[in-house]
Amino acid sequence: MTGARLTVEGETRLLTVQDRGRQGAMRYGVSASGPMDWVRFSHALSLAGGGGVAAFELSLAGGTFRAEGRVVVGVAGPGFLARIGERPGAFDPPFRATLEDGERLVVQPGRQGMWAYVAVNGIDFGRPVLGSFATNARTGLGARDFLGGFPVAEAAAAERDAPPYEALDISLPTSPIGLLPGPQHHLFEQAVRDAFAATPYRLTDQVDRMGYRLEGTPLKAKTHDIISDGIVEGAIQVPGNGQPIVLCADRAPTGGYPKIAVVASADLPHLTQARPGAELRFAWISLKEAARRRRALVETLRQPSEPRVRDEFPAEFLAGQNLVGGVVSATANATLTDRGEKPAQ
Amino acid sequence: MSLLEGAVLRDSGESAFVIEFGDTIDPAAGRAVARVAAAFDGIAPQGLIEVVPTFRSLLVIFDPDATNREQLIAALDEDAGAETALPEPARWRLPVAMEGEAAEDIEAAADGLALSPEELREKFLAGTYQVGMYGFAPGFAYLSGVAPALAIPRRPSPRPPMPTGSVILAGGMAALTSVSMPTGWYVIGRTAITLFRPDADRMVPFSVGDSIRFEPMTLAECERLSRTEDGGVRREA
Repeated sequence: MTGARLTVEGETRLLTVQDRGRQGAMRYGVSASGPMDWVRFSHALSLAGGGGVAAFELSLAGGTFRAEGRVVVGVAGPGFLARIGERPGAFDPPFRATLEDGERLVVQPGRQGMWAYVAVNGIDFGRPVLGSFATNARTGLGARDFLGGFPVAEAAAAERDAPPYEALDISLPTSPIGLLPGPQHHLFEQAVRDAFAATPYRLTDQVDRMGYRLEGTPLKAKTHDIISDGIVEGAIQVPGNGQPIVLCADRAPTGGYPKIAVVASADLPHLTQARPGAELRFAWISLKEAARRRRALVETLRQPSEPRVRDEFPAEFLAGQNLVGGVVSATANATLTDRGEKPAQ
Repeated sequence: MSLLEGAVLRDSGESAFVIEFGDTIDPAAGRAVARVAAAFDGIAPQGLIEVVPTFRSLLVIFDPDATNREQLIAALDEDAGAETALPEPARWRLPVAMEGEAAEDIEAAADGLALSPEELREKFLAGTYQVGMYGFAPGFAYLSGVAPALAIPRRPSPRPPMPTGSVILAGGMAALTSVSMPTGWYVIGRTAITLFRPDADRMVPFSVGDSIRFEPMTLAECERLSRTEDGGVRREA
């Protein structure tokens, strides 16, 4: 079958296309962007197959996609729930499925998680911008026109005809979240660095692709106003009020607040998938430990996904997922029931 | 002489480090940063992803599964003997309108500096500025070289969005804006230049380290030049 397409329906403001990030142009003021959760992003791509490098990133607003022709998708995102066409029951990411011609994939947030990924086997997102498919939500750089959808090349027959496949979620390192020293670590006294790891910090509702604001024991620096320097993903900057901000994918490439720490890359998804109000704990770890955690995740992602064993989805299961009463989300009002769609019962 | 003489190395997580040549805006530090950036560009060591130069430091981002800080520093040391040829910084003349709506905040800034708007204009136009870094947004250029008499702190609260191409002043720095957004800086002029072209061979018109002198134009001239390709910028011999 040639000429397959995937179209995007409904609200698309918080929907972006991401690849691993835009490299090489930070020196011209261009943000790296890329996925908020590199682990689930990679998992969705590997479930979809086809060797793609870019996927849709969904926020708490969810997303609706429609297949023209048969389209193989991989979906990942902790706590998110999906429905496919008229098929009974909810699909519980991470999973791979083949959408039949005319079928819709609806992905909505559940009781936890902030970001989900929909990867599509053979999708053509068009021309990269500065060598990347990543979208910077703040400046619009790389933003794609969703109107009309995207062409999808035919997937291998074995992938197209395979039954839906549910995988185990990739297990992340457990809390506390690992911290490595940031470039202005020396501007914070030992007692302040210790305090950062000793008390919990609450995630405020000021969270987006640029950064997550935390609230807790104030972190006093010798100065909170430095001459700007470069910022890496996961860097934690501390403005004058002492409340840390974790800088994420769409951060500006440089900034003038001191950076006490950088979140270990393996632990960043744990942080970015936390919802406002969550209590987060941090611990200083060694470079070696950060590398161990990162390599363990990369190795897990390289292995074929482990299947999840579960029977079909009876009504009790759906009720257990709180689908029937409408999905409660912290910052978005969009739910399956709000959209006027009845969950399967 | 080592490229890293006088530098301090700072950690920045597991896949980056910062080479710091000071903690102030200092032309010598800026030149040292540009030399190291050019050296890395020239050597392109295995595993290096990119470098981000600023007024005083260079962020070096690498693939931690392919290299590490020690190997990258060693690559730099080996190259030091080769006398990395640093391209001579370009000198530019850039027309600026410092009147009417293009210079909305010039009176407020002059008040804050205990100058008349005319004095502020003269002092600003007399200066030579260096492109110290890009940051904040694509093509958003920070300029050093602001005279001490023009060093005004940021506004107590942000002002409404300014047009792109504006010249803004605060914190002992000036900047050329490539995005329109609320700012805590003072808008003192407007240029007709486009600071970011993602599709062009040269994404940005100026390199870090280039110098810029401004020359006055009228607002009407600015509007005319904004319809040209280059906004009236000229490279000096």
